[in-house]
Amino acid sequence: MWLPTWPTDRALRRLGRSRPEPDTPFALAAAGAGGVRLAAVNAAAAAAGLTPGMTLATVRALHTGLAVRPADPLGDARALAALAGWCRRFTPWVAADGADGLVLDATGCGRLFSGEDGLVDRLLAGLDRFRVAARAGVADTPAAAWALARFGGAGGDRAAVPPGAQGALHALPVAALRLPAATVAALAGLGLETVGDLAALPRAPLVARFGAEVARRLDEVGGALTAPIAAAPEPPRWIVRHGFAQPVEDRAVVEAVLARLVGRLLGELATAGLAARRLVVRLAQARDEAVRITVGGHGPSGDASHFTRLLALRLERLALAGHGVEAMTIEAPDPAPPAADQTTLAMAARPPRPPLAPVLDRLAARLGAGAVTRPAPVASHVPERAQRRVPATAAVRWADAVPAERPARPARLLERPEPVEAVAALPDAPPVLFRWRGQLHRVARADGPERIAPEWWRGGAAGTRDYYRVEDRDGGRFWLYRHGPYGSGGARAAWFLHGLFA
Amino acid sequence: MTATPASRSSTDPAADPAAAPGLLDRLRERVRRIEGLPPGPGGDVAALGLDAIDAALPWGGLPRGVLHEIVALERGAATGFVALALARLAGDGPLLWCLGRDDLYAPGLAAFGLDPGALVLARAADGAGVLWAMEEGLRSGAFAAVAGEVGALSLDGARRLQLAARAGAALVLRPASAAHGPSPAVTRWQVGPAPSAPAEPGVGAARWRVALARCRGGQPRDWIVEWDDASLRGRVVADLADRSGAAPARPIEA
Repeated sequence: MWLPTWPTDRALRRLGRSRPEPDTPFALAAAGAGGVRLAAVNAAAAAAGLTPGMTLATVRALHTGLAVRPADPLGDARALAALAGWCRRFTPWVAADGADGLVLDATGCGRLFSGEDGLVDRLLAGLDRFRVAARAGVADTPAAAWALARFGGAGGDRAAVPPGAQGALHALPVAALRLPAATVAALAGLGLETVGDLAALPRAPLVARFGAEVARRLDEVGGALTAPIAAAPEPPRWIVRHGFAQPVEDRAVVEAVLARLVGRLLGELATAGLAARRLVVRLAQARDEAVRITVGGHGPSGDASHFTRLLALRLERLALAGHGVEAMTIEAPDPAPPAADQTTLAMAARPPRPPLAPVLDRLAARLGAGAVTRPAPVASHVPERAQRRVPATAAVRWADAVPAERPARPARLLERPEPVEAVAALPDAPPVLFRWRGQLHRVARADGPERIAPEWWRGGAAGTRDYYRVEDRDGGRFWLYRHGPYGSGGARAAWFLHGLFA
Repeated sequence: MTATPASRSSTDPAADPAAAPGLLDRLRERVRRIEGLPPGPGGDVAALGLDAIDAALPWGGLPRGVLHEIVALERGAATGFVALALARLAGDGPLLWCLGRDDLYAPGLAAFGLDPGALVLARAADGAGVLWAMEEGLRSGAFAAVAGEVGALSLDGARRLQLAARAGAALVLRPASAAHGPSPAVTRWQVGPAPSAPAEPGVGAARWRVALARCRGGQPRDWIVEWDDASLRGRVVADLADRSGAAPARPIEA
């Protein structure tokens, strides 16, 4: 299986919805000899004449529309190994092959997919769903399949030779033997252009002239030698199961059995030196789809009672009457070595505080994962975008995020600015009184305006706001703004209340 | 209480306070905890950094490990006071703020010395959820302090918080409309805004009217506090009358 544009496919996939149109030239670049050079290009860029190795400066001069992102070869290799794991659904013998290929030993597996063609169909369709360009080569040996995928046939998404028909390979160019470029060039210099040309020659002089590798590659393609597929072992699945003789509706029974299963699973993990980060529980209920519950996620834990409590919090909202549980499984999808207790010097003085992860897990189990967060700074001058909520496990640094020389910011920012009726003496003056939530506030003091325009890429001057900090006669401090630039609304400008100062 | 006669001749080491220095103090502390009382002098206390207020509190500051109640006469001002108290209670530990409506604005809270990086926010759908989250956070002992915004708080709910608040301080922020009646809280504060007094035109430094409405072992008092954003320091600008009587401000004996 050849993935001709794997690095760019992966990069485009990672960009998600912000990726450019499919036919936009796109390339990955990395620092190389003599400057930043292209490391990979997509099909559109290749069609435009771009090849890996060109310097970015040259390319920029030639093509203005090129989108470029940094290359990540290590990430590509890791993702390729993960893709090989995905392919394990077709055959247990799968391995990443080089930087842009996968090799699958489909011997005997074809009958599960109505023939080898059916298997290849499913595989290509799967990769297409991932938006990964792929071309398949099907042959008796991995080396021949490698050659066919890259050089065989007249196009299409695959090239196959029937078993035993090795003659078909003889038409392939010498490069299909996966030889070093220098050897290929040297052979071409002698007029040896196809595999067939080479195969017809006596071996001994060939080896003497070009080394043993040429002969070995010929044998690998021809089938006289087989290169083994170094399939990575399948990662173990940590899963325990319990089936009931008849559907159980008693919550106490379900909880007790779950607790026992959790204990068993964590015990097995512990003997492997691991702890569970998350537990996925599937409850098969009578006449119903299986219920899936995921708990944890804030840090590896080997504490069975912790997970049991989390599950109890989730179970109490589950209807069991009439939906008896027939079987259940608990899986630890991503176990990790247990976290070492971090004790800093400052904490050592007091009795150590227990870790946060268990309580974050419990809060998230009842309130929902999105309800337990931390505020994180965002470099934006637009107030509502200057902070966002991130998962509570994230490390957040605010120390340098708030510039000292900045107009004051409120302690509360309304989720939506609320319209207020305001009266201002002049169109560009702060209001003298305003009514918010039915209550009239007379303004005693005001600061402003602080003009805040939306980021230019999010809209024009129409969204410009003039913010005023006002204090009413009781001392209550509010953040009001007039919407739109001065003059656009005239005397009937729209006013909004956006925040409360402490 | 620490005077131990050296001439005492007891053979039982446990009965001899000299054999276990501070044993008596530790036992007293334990009894106070069991009874839900704030720690004695020298206990775990966070000074607010507002001299006159710290001096009026029998402990020299806000004691940790107990429940404090803050009644919001206005939401903005009360938020500032809670942020100030949380920052002082935090030390370098994490904080939990449980709320129903997430309108906290971290860039603004930072002006009260509160590190938003230490803050975990838990949003619950209703008041019962907020109380549950507070109790869970307090019981875990993982947070230095837990603040919660609740509407109505039953005596029973407040007692549960008081019991849970062993490892960290609990702050309950309540709207003025819902705050009456008895409460096991060790202190009850009422916080509202006060007009600023700037030297130049415009809005001056934030001022609050802070009332210590109830304090176990102390007297109700009223102050005007001014907060300076730039130096991250507050100061008491006016010591108002003792609310219990018409007498002018006088020092309180702890």
